[in-house]
Amino acid sequence: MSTNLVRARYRNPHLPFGDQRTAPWYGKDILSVKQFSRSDLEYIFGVAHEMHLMVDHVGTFDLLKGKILANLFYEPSTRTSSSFTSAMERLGGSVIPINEVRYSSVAKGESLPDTIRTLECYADVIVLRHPETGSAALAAQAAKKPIINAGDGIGEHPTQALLDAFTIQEEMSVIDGLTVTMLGDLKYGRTVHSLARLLSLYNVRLNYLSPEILKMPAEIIEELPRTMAQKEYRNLEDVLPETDVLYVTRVQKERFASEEEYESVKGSYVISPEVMKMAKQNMIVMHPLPRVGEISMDFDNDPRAAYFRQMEYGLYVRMALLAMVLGKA
Amino acid sequence: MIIKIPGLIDPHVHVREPGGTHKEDWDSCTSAALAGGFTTILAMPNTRPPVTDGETLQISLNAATKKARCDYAQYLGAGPDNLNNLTKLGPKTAGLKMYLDQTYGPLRLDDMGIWMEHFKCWPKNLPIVAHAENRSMAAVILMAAIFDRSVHIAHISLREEILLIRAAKEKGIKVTCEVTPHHLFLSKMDAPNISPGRSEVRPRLATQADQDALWGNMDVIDLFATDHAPHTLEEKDGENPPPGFPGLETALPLLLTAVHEGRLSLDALIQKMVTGPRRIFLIHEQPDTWVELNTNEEFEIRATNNFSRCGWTPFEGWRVRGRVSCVHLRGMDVFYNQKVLSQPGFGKNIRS
Repeated sequence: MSTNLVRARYRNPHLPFGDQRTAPWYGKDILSVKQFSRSDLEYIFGVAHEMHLMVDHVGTFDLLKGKILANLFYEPSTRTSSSFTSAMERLGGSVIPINEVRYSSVAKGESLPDTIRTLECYADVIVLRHPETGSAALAAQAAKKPIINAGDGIGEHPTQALLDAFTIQEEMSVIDGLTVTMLGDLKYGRTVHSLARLLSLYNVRLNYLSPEILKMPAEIIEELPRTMAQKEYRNLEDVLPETDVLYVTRVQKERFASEEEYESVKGSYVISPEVMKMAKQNMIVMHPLPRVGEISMDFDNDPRAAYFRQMEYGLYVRMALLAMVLGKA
Repeated sequence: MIIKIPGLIDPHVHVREPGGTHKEDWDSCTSAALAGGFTTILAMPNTRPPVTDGETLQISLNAATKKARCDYAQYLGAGPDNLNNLTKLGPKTAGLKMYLDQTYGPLRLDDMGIWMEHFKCWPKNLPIVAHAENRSMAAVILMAAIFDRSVHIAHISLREEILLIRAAKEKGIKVTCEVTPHHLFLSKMDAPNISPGRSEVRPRLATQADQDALWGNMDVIDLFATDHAPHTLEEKDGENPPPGFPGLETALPLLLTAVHEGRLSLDALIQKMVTGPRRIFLIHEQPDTWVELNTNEEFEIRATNNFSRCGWTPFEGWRVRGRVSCVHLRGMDVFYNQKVLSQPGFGKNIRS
């Protein structure tokens, strides 16, 4: 009987759970948003959606019982590291946290590949946060176990971009056809660069709204496919009424030449209940957090404020990625 | 308010072609689907001839290729002597349909030995859908447990059925189920108003207590399926009324009304009409596809406004709230202003 052949060709796009070394993501690294196709995203979001349902119904589930995650953080990031810890523990696995790297052998001058090779003796998967661009790829070269990049300098932070896109899908239910406006520091903000790359897999219009000195780098605009509608704006009023997803990022004072320039720019983009009267009723406002006044707190109770739900979606995406690279989904 | 939701999937549709095109065909059925917000339908095999092998599958798919206006896949019917054939055809179909109780058409399987063979042979990762009421349902759940594979129970309608499925799921048995809008919104009490002949449907309309149990166990229901089963008024009002209701065009407005009344959340609706069917029936997301709804628009259901050829609905005159205003399928406006815009043949076989 040719059922085995049939099985190999015809795989469930979403699940089922179970021990599958043949699972498409088994043993793979998650390093860059550039590695994903649209059907990859559909698969990841399908599993993340299942994780959401599972957490709602039963809270925890021993899918990764006995598996160990090493959380290797060379720079502090409470949100990302606790999100991965929570994701692993909700699936019944355990975590070796290595947050205070100055106390471990890195401070003694051990190279990153050596640290990775040591850690993978104790762990099944390594989550890495490092200040230098390209360090995740370097770690992945050294490692036999899967590496998940949790941010390498101004390079990539793929799990953030995935959770951003998953948030849009879950909140708006369809990504195709949306108008997404990115607001704030588009020059240095790696989250917006990664998200723009991911969204280029869909049929969306991208609007860039920023002060002149923080505008989206030309390299990114040129890198995205020509078919993608991209437009730059300076005024919120010009673009807010047509926006379905407003993605706000932090504008840091140190990017400006003078205090006055910072103050003048800062005020013009603050999202408040008053300003949001211009926007649609069924749009959402996102922010990678932490915020420093870009969104006023009295907007938090508006149903369009999706930035805290966004963190929750992040948990489900990270659960999905861990289950996938460990061959369980 | 205008909202956008993904294209809906109806995993239980009787297209009636071949063999019953005076009731419905691939053109009218897929038009009705689009008008109801469905961009994908899975077609049942109890046509004339029934779809039970490569040849009959091709007959149905040839008609669909020429006429369908939305995306589709065709089920195979399980018979007493088509086992080996089926396994090879599996990936080209929506799944295997097993009729274990009396309904419209000739495909009923009585011998549990044959059920077992099908459970053994059909590829584990492809869906099996069972028409199994009451005690047959318990038997088919046992088969799923014995052969450690999934089974999807079509149109459950009774309190005892949903409670048994709840218990089976809690035991970890891979069973999923669907409920039709007519079992959620109608009971035996409504039969006299609809008329005895027209209210014939399988499974039969149940009691108020059964209906309440479906609503009370909403979390156990994996998905909504219309069981769109059109017959003409002449047939329904005649001597031997065949069982079945049309449902493609009324399902979403009825369920949106329940959302408006606070009996159902919009998230649950999308779960049971999009994400649930995608997972259970292994259906990929259609790119550039969505449905725009006006959630505030109220209207009365009138069969005369419908695209289904059968010309009637059990919900005639019902006041509902929430209407499809536009359907966008693979980059094209296919339904707008209550008109179907896609041409026959635009629909694609999702299993090709």
